[in-house]
Amino acid sequence: MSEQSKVCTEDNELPLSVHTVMSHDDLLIEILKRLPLISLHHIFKYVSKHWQLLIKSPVLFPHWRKNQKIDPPSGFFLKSSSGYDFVSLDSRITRFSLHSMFREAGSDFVIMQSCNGLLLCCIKPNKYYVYNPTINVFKMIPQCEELISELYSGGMSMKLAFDPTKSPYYKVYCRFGYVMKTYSSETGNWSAVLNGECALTEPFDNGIYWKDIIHGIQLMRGVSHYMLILGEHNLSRIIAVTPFAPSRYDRKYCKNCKLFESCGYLYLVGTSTQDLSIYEMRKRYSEWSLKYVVNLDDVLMLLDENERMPSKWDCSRIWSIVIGEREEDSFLVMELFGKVVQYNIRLKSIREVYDLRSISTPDMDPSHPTKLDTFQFIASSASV
Amino acid sequence: MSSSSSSKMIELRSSDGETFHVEETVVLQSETIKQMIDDDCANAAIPLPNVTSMTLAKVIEYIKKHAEKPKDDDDKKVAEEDLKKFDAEFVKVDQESMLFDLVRAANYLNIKSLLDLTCQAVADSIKDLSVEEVRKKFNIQNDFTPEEEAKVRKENAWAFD
Repeated sequence: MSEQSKVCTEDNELPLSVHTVMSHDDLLIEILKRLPLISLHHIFKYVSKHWQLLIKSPVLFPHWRKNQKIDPPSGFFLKSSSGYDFVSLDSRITRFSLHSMFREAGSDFVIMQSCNGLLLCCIKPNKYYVYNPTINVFKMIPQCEELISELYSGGMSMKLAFDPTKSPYYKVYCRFGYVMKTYSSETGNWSAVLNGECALTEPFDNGIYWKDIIHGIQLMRGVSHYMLILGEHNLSRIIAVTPFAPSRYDRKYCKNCKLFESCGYLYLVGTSTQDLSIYEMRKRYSEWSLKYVVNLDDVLMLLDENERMPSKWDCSRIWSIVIGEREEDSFLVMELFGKVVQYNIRLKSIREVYDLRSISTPDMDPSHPTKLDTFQFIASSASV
Repeated sequence: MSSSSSSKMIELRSSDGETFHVEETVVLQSETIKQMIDDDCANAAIPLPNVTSMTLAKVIEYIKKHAEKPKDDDDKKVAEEDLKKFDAEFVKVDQESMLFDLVRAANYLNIKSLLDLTCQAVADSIKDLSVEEVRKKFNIQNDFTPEEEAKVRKENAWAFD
């Protein structure tokens, strides 16, 4: 180019086109709204007052949009003896503190579930909250008779059901003994006593929420995939097959399976001694399709020699699976020998994100997975 | 649809005076030009005073590719994949300023898919930057006072280095 147009200031030259685009608010908004929410809400908001104004303004997030994307997790809340530690996957964010009200509740504060950007949490004994840690807002779920009375047998469990790709509202399904009630953020009311089936309590408690259904696996003729369909007035169960059929794998193999949900997709992971197979379900009832096979040796190769120990895959070590739109964005977060690592499936690279030895007790055995409570932190601008 | 030989050609003139001849069916992807044609303003060369010849050549490359119609359903799937690959390569430009030129041109010419593509490419290129890096890259002055900065950080209960 013969003519290089640039806007010059003391220390930096900016090409004219860059300057024009960045000083054109409509275009700047077009760019900002395509950024991951974690960058927007926790990094770029602090660039300048003008950027902050744009990011906070309803122009950027006018209202909920259908088919909104769900961002991959940016970190995890990890239960420790002193409350919750933050394990960051974003090197720009090193620390995180929960809302002061939750911090002040000390050990009475418990995170129960993370669901597409919102957390279901509790301050003991019976105050339940839906909390968006990204924008640091929470709402207490109104009390209902059963929440206070606790006069039911068979225990109680709750599931937050929030799918921002379909609706800006969430529901909380609550099982009180053999009775199911739901709270809807749309109406603000508790309602619909679902026809309780005592046989379904365990599947409900152990399953994960994905697209209006509680999904889980059970060891029955190999590994089967059950779906608890949360209807308006009743609960029904469908059992489907998985790729881990008994003819192909031994019993031991079958036992090591786990379901994961991320960025709007459901994954089924199963292990053999050396291989970890990741299957994906994109549509509700379609078949599982194999996405990746991760070889344990490939991962162990990347660790320091003195940290490698003879080991085998164990699904309980895996914290999260993200299959990105671009292949290089696909990763696993897992616990290996007292460290939390992020393993890029495609690039076969590893990054240590956290040292569990900082919170663990001396008698922890590094060759066995640690029983840890972790909850994904997913950036979201959802209101509660 | 009429065959390509009978398609009308539209003449576009870039800011630096170069002219380009593009089929009308292709150029209709630009809402701005479509409006001009509808208003009967396209009898002579359409002047595009905001778009350089280098940028316009790229834009034409893009709209030509996106105007290709697959013959049947089987072809459609292949074509979609092909288009995805083309888009990914298209935004890999040597000079970053070209990407911004394309954002401007897509906005001016009102080609929605090109604006989506180029804005996403800019977003992807900056998404992992730190606050300081963003300021440096776009020459943005930090206009927060230290007190204000402390306050906004506290507001969110977040901290970062």
